[in-house]
Amino acid sequence: MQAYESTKSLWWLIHKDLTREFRVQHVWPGMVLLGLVLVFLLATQLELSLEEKTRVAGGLIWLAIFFAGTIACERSFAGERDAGCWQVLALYPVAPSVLFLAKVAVNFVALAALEFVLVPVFIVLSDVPLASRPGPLMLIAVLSNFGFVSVGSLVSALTAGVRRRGSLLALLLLPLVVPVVFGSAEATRLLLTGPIDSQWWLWTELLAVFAIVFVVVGAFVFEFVVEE
Amino acid sequence: MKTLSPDRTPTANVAAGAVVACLVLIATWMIFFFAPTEATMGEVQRIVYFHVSVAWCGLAGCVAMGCCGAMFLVHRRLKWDFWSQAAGEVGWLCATLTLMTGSAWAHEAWGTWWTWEPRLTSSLVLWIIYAGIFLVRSSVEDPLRRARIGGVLAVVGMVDVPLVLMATRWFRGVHPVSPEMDPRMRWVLLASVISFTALFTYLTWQRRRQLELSERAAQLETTVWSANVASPN
Amino acid sequence: MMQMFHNTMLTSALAIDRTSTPISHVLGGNAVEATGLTVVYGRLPVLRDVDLEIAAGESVAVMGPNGAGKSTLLNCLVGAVRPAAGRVRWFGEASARCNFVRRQIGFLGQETGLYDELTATENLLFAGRMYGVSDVHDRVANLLADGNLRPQAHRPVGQLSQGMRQRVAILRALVHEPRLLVLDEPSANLDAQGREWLERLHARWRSAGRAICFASHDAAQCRALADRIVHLDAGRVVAIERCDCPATQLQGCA
Repeated sequence: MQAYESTKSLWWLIHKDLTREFRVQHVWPGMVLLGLVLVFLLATQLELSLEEKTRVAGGLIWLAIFFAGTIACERSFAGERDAGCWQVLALYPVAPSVLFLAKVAVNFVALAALEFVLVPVFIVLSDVPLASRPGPLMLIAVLSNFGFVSVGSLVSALTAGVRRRGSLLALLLLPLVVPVVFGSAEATRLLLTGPIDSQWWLWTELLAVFAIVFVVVGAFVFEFVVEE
Repeated sequence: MKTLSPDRTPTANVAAGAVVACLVLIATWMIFFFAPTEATMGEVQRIVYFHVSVAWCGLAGCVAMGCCGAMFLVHRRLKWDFWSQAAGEVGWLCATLTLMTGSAWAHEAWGTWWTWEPRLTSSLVLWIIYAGIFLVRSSVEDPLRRARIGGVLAVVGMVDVPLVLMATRWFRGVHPVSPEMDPRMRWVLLASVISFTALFTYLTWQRRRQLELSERAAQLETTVWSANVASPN
Repeated sequence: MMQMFHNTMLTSALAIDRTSTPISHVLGGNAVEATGLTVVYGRLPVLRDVDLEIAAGESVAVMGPNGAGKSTLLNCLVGAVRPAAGRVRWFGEASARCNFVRRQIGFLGQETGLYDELTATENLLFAGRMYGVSDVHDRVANLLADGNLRPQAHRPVGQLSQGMRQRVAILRALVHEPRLLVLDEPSANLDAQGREWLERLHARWRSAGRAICFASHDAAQCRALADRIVHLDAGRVVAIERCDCPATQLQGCA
């Protein structure tokens, strides 16, 4: 019964955030635009042979995605605080972990939307066949997204009420997600340059471990985050 | 706010400081006079004893910061936050020294100031994580709120560090190789690690004491100020 | 596999939730009891050793100059702020993180806490759903009708006037029919009509046995609506004024 209640609350929290975003596009346009600018700049610097471009493309596209993705994470809690809604949200009879998981889900969707735009654009601008193996690439994307947004949501919640929060988030978040950056870049490089072997699975497992660890850790420590 | 515990006499501090100083001096003597000279790199190789020791302390600082941060979140006593901040600051200093000694060694060994060697890479990431945590802490004025936010970040950082180490070890297929070491070198390395750990502990203890005294002074100041406000006559 | 993961995550969520509610819980008696409340911001005490009890069906107003600690006291009464010393109990339950307690409390803070992009209806529906209200659509429709907000029901809250937003925020505090209402300056931004509506609501809540605590700068309104007025100054209770007699009785506490 309580699991059902929590699931319903989770659904309505996600519904609320997605409705807000679709109705008044606060976050996604800026995020996608920044991603496009980064992809454009990176692609213009790739004056390399196709083989060399294929080796570095993985790292570049993921950097662009994660840099732009910090915007989604930053606004996820800043948007609540700006409206004075965070205090009300924290008082609902909902476990703090459910609030956290809802934000993780919404930011995951934001990042997925960003990837759906950036990957094709990067392919067009750089000629790198990023989507030659869509299944494994999507697995990398799903695991990276979860890892990135779980840490991003947690750090965003912590820094939302702090002075100079905008500059703090990227400074804090990006070093913490280094395993995700390395993992997604290396897994993509291996995917594009060779067969799916044990080395590829090693990086993918690292992404999976990171995602699981930080979704769980975030859910557990979030009760300390919601306090005033 | 709970009353802070009274300060202990400085005798224990001086005695501990003397012991630590002796350990460090002995280790330094061993590094320069007991350890044999390495065949390929010569005298420059002795940097490794310092490098490995401070690298270990940098990691230990991160773990200690995380554990003490978790203790604060559970018990809500500021003393745990003081330990957490102190361990973090000394650990950050050690991470800085790791980068400096690592760069110096890399320059001598490979002719470049930087290499994507796993320990250097992970130390750089660790250094930036420390920097971010301290930047956030410095942006929060309320001590309890700062301790809570710092505690959560310290726990996240502590959990993250093993994953960072794994990722940097596998990055670009570089696997750290334990070099063949003369037995005397191993003893010197052990002595160096022990002495620097003692130094790290001592510095953390002193810094913790400094933070506690500083907080006590601030509380007294506030008490006097609010008493004056309440009855200005 | 996903189902197991899902269940595990929800079980973890529940483990932190501490929703254990004693079946022997008593709904009568005091809605909220605060004892020795001390709150410190930075190193400055904002509330010092404040005691306050509110019985079911009682209305208590909190008054005081700016910076007296009114909002902080109200935040403590809803469990939004953890005091440095003292404790608060709700309906005999000690933990504000207990879902049962949270479902019994309705709160209006200094900010409306409404989502500007959502309509008034959507804001109230969201709150109702989060509180687990079963007939939420009917309940919201009735509330909007009662607040004379039907014409604005489908407009984004960001496009409403301050007074209308305040009404929506008050309705949001009521959507789950809580037994304890805590309102920080509820009549702020309300016009004369809005104030009359609030006073009618207040009378209805009282007769329904709800406990009410509200902060206000309007002394006349406090005397008209409240059973007691707690006067705060510099974080301390300096006087308690009883308003249930023709001649008010002033009880000093300093």
